[in-house]
Amino acid sequence: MVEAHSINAEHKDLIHDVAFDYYGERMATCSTDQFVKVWDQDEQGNWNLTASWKAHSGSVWKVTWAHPEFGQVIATCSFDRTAAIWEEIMGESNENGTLLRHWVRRANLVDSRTSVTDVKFGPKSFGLILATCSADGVMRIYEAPDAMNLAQWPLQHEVSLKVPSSCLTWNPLLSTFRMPNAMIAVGSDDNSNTTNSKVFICEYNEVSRRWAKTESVNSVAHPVHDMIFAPNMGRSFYLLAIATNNVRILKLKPIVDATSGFPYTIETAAQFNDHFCTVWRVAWNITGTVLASSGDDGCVRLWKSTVDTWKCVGVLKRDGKLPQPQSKKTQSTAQNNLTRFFKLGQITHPSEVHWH
Amino acid sequence: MFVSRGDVPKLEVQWSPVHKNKFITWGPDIRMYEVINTATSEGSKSSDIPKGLVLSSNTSANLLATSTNHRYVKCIDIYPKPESEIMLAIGHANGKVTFCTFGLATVNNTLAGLELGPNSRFSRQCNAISWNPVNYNLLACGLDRHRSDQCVQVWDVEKSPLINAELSPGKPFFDYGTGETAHSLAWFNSSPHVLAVSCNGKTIRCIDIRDASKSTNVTQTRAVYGINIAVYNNNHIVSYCDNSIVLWDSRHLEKPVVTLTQSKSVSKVQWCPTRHNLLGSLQKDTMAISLHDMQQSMDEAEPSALERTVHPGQGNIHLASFSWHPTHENRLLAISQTGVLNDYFVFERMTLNWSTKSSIAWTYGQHNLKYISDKDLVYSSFEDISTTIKMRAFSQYGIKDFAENAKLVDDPIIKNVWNWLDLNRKVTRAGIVPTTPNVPFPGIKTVLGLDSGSPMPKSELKHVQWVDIQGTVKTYRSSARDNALFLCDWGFDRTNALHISALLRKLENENSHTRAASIAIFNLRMRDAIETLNKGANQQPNLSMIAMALSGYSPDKYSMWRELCSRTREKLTDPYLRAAFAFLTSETESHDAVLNEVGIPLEDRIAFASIFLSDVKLTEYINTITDKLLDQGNLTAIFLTGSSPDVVPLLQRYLDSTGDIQTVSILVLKTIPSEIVHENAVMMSWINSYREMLNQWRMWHIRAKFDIALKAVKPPPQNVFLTCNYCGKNICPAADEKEKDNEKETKVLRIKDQSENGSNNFKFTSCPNCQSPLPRCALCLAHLGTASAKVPLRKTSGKQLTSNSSYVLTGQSVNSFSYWFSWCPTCNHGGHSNHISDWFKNHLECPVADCVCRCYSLDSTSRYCSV
Repeated sequence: MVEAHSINAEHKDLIHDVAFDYYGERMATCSTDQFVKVWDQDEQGNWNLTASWKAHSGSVWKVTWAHPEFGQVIATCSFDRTAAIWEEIMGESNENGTLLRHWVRRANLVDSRTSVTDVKFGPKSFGLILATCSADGVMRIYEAPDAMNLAQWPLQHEVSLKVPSSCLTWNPLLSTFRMPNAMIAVGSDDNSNTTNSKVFICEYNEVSRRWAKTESVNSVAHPVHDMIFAPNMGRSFYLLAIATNNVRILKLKPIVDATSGFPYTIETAAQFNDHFCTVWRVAWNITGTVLASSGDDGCVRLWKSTVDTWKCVGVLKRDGKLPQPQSKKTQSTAQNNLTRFFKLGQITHPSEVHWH
Repeated sequence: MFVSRGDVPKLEVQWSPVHKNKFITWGPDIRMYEVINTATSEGSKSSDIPKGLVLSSNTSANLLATSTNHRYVKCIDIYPKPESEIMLAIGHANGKVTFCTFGLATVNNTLAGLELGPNSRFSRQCNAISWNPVNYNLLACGLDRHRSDQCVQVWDVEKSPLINAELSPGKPFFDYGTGETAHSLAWFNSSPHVLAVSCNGKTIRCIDIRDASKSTNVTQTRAVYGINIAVYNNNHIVSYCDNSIVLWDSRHLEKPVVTLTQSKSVSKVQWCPTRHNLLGSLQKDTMAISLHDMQQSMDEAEPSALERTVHPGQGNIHLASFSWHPTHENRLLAISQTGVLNDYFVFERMTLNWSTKSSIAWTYGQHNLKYISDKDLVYSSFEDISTTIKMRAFSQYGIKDFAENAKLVDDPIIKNVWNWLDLNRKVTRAGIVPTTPNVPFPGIKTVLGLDSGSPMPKSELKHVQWVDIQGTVKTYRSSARDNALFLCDWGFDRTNALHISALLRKLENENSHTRAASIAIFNLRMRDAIETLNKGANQQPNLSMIAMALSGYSPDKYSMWRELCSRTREKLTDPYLRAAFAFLTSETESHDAVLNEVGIPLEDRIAFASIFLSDVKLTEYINTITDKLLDQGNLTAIFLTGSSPDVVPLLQRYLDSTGDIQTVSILVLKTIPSEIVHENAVMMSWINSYREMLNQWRMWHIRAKFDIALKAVKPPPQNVFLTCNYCGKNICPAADEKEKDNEKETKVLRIKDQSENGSNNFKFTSCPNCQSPLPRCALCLAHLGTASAKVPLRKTSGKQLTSNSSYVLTGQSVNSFSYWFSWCPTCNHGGHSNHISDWFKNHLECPVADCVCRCYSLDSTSRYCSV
């Protein structure tokens, strides 16, 4: 029996996002109670709350860390139509000699007319750059010309997608080698129909110096709740994980010598319906080889590819109860169901057991 | 509190506000249930079938009591006093209120049988009933209109005497609203004397029962049904009518906060008591409950709702009603129109994320986060290659030599690759196999001349006799083939019996008798093969049978031996034996059966091919197998491609399928010359990805060693210089390349003159160009260019130090690093590096007087140490 470690997050309301910093040593959480909390991990592996402040005047949807090269910087976005940049500064030391650190607001981005649904920093090679998307479908790119001055974030580009957008993700690139243009994928959670495409790819055109929508992925027509590109790690293709009515993984392969049009082929590498309901979030590991997804069924599922085929390698139930075992007989090696189920999370207060 | 609308018998369900596991349903009769947890623990027997109604996969309900005495029930509310048994207040169609305790002997027996309500002359329908949540003795009833009676009556059940319904009823504690209709009512928790009432189909009023004339809080609206006040925040009120749900703020009741229009007519709304701002609503004839998550920002005038629908149960029966659990997070009970109950847990969206340190964290309920990391046992079942990479990196994989690398990996393919590279290097260093500067590790294809696309140089055909039996076999020889054999570790002299015997003995010691036997056969020594097999028969008895079969070998193509052996060969399990027999029974010259025997390692098959296949066939075989392995992304193909440019697509394919950026980067680093690597963008992108990964894990020392190995050829040019403040010239004479040599000479001589004792140490305290003094260390006040003195260390006794006590000189020796000066770029102060770092162990601010720069704290990453 395995136990998952537990942290009492001390938020008064629903936690909307959890984000780790570049080194994985710090964690930020944000919630409907309008607070952002920052946690640090000590040598024993325990997470301790080091900062908590009221960041916005509405629910805070997302929080994200910048590359440590720019300092300890996070960005948040909220229902109150703003996105904010925060930096941790060293304060005065108290009597014990320990340094007090606190977070200050460096900039407020108020261009949106509706709730800002996602904010993400771009790859470090572009400098200090940030993209936001809002409920009225406008994606905005902000760039800080001077990394030392975090107060200046001029709005550089705006792309209007005309459908309510819920999430965005940058394609992480290490060098401009394989990907000549910067790329962002934006997802829409528009409920009004299930026919129009809900995933859009926007690229930066070096020649015209503008961002524009270059492709719509028609195979994804259900509302999209989360998307994330996998870390490339030297592979010859890009993987985009999408959380919609099921888990989908798209593979983007660069077309060699493409002269016009979208220079990538997009194919659906995998599609998993195992959650049997809406999938909310997806996250990749550091090598971009294993994907974790969370769904309305209260499970976290993990997916891994082995030589071009994808399969589920683990299901984590958040409450400690094992789901129904699917197949106990070991089948032939060709169809090896390596799905393992683990019970996690001993309930410490049985009187408050959560029922299903 | 529940109401029955019209004459349609309605089903209702409600959780008890005080008992966590009891609820009632009410329709044709009133039933009380108790919920039990039926979750099976490990090892439970299947005979534990839960009895009673199944509510969900891990709960079921047992019927505790039924009450059928009550007729024309219109509304019910449960007594909210904690620590009491379930008691219901029931409103009837004639306006009377009765109490039901399901026949349980309770403290409140006094109420059983009590009947409250208006005089029977004024009998009319009771629309709503509600216990006061704080003052448990007060019960409010909302009644239909009667021209001379009040529509709202609040009874105090402790003070009313026991009376008989026929005689004059007691007076209510409070009444209000003569000649009006009350549709629904609700108490405020925080102000328990205030009651919200909707009247006459067009108003909602908040009435203070201490003084009815004080009801100033009034609004006009048509949404008069189902008033519900949120438990956590009494300012939130909701009511509905037809297709609209209307939200109110009790502080500004004159105007609704927002109106939500639904597609069908609404039948129930209730705030979720465990979560802020979550409203559940049910529409007529639907199978789903709608959840409205009210979002409001301070600046916004109007909140908006995030809508979601949930389908309790199978989602194919129309729902009649639902009820939120008062304390369990997000739990609700839904009842369908056919009476089927469902215990449903509304999962909030779980957010999750994965850190670069291999921790997966997700939200659990409203307040908790759960996480697992690669330190937990379960993580290893995910077979995440990043943990493997990390472990290998810690053991210095890649920085060490080939043979060491082989020991660090578990994957046999990669192990083989490293071992082969080791062999390759031995063979090329000994000069046996030629190499070119671009391809320091030639593969089989390179050696055979196949990679250039041109056909291989011709080999000579020789018919070789079997050593100990009759018969000849066609073999081919050429210098290129010989080189290939060396690379396959078959570099022994095949004509020399001693070499072969030595090899066979070696293999026998490793218990690879079958391999030894097959090698002997491929070298045309039958007797040796039989001997080896017989020796191996000690462990595997059937080997002596094989030996017996071998001894009957006849070279005749049409003999019975050949026919039988080729048929029974299929039944052999050992790949070497199969190959040996395939060789002996092969019909054609192409020896396909041997070559396709994948159980034999590639080296042996290639070696075999190099001896026995003709030029054309050999070329064809090598090309086919290279393509096949390349397609699979099998790294074994490195035998064939070596470190020629052909290896790049192979590595890319391997990387695409496994994600093992580490092995790929290290192979590139170790096998391909640096100049080629630096020019090739693909390879540099691999190497940079790997370095980035090491950086993220804070394995900076290991990454630095990797960098050293990478740039072993050419150090980067110096790009930071120190210039003198006064003359602006570079103070390091040796570094300036543009200077003429004779000028450099004079400077060096001058410096040597300055140094004391004629020692060879470069001790210069002033600029060589303008002789102005160089800056001093902020702590020891010695000039830049002097070695730092040994730093005194205090004894850690914790006592007060006396003057002649406790300073102990450390044993630091003077080395080149002690000359190293370091500066803070913000305040431009600095000094000897070890002095500065010791200072900042105990202080925050710069050591220079009046400078308040927090030099050491400015860079947050400096808080972390390399792992």
